[in-house]
Amino acid sequence: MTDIELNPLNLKTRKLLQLGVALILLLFLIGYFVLIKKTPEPKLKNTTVYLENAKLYVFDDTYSLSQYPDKILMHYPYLLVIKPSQQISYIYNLPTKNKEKEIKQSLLDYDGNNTLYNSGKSTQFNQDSLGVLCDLGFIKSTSEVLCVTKVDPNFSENKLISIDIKTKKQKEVYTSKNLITAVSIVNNITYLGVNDLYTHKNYLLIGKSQVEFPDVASLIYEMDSKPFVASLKSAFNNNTESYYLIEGSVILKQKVQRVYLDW
Amino acid sequence: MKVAKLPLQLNRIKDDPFGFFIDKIIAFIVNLLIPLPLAGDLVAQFKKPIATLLVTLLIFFLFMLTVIGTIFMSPVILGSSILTNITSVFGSNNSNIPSDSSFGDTQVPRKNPFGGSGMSYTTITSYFLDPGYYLQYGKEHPAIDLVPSSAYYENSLTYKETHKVVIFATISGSVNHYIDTYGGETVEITNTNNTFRVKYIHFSLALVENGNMVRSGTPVGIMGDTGFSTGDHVHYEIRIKDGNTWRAVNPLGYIQ
Repeated sequence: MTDIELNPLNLKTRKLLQLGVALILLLFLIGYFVLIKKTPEPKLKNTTVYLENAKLYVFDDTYSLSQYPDKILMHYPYLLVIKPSQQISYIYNLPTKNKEKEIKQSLLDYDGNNTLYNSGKSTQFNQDSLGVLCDLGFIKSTSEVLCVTKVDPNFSENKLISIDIKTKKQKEVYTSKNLITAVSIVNNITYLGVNDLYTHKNYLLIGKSQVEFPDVASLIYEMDSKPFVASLKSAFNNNTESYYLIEGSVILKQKVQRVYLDW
Repeated sequence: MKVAKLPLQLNRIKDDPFGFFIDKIIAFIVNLLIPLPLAGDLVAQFKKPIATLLVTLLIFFLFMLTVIGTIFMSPVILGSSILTNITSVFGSNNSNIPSDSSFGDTQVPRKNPFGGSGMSYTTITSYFLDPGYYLQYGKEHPAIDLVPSSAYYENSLTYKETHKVVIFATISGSVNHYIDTYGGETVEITNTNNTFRVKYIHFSLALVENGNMVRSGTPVGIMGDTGFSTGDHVHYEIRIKDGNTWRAVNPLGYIQ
């Protein structure tokens, strides 16, 4: 048996010790929060957007596009990934490299403020019915929408119309006996992808001029302020993927395995 | 000790040779597994209560396995068509699903096949002659693809009663039920005037049979993804008699 050692601290030393412990705790807390604030945000591993073998790589996100009716659209600076069966569209801001928002609609276009989408029998601009059903669309401005619709609702042939948002007045821009596969405006020029329903040849309408296009024009988009056309897997191109730079009326195939949408 | 045990063992062989050898085998195996003196003899001595205990534990283990398995597998079983396929083996499928009287008795398809007013119960995932479909597959899509909207799940009485997405006949007429070339459960109804034909594909289960006469509003199938499909939906097609052919028309022009 040993004697129990009595606490050797007196009131003064005990208070000093308590103060020391409180000081150490305070220093730890300050250091902890400063360190947490200074912890850098995780960096993106992939800073580009590309398609490879029906897979879309958007920064660090991946989407399978092999399953119809999933699709991608672009209205620079926004990239839209659309999943109609889930009624959801994912919107990415390309310059900021962020997923900007998710919208519970199957979008036809998005310009940062306005949405264009199909709801039942007609196409809506935000909450406003345009009185027509568009297969494709492009928000030209807050007062005008380009809409690819059917010449006759029971047949495949398309036409491009311009719709005044306020008056809902329609103006025919281009009427064809063919299928319009893509529509976009890049550097104030309207681009249309056209597939001949009988010969299956493809064309690009650049403004008012028409040029032959060697592949299916699935997506017309802007990258580095230049117009590009992506050809996604199709029965009309032996299920291959390619992309092309449009320089005036010259079409330059890009010799890379991936289809870059943003780099 | 061993010498003293010998007469006893000889008597045991004489009285119960089978039991003796069983005990020896048990003792041998237990001695191999449990390196304790007399373990084998003890187990052989108390083999009946030990066997009872082991069987009880085994039954308890199997019971727990079944209970836990059922708890974990139930969402998978309910979410798949396994139950539907099993129950479909036993007689009539649609006996419990009531007809939707709001369809009336019509020769012209005026309602969407989920019921409800206008398009309120439907979301279209692929439109009539969708250019995207044509480009991807090289053939036309002469129909609309439908999935139920959130309003359907909130308001449909049929869904609330059955917990199934039931598809109704949109016209009165005769049924043609078959599996298409891609394996899709297909139901066609031709009206009695022989002017309209509606077609549904991808059912997980057809509720009508070949040759049945149905009235509009009769449940004809459960939505599924059989055949050439990338997810649960209904392919809804309307054709009209045009000379000797049946020409596909845009169903949206008919749904009121």
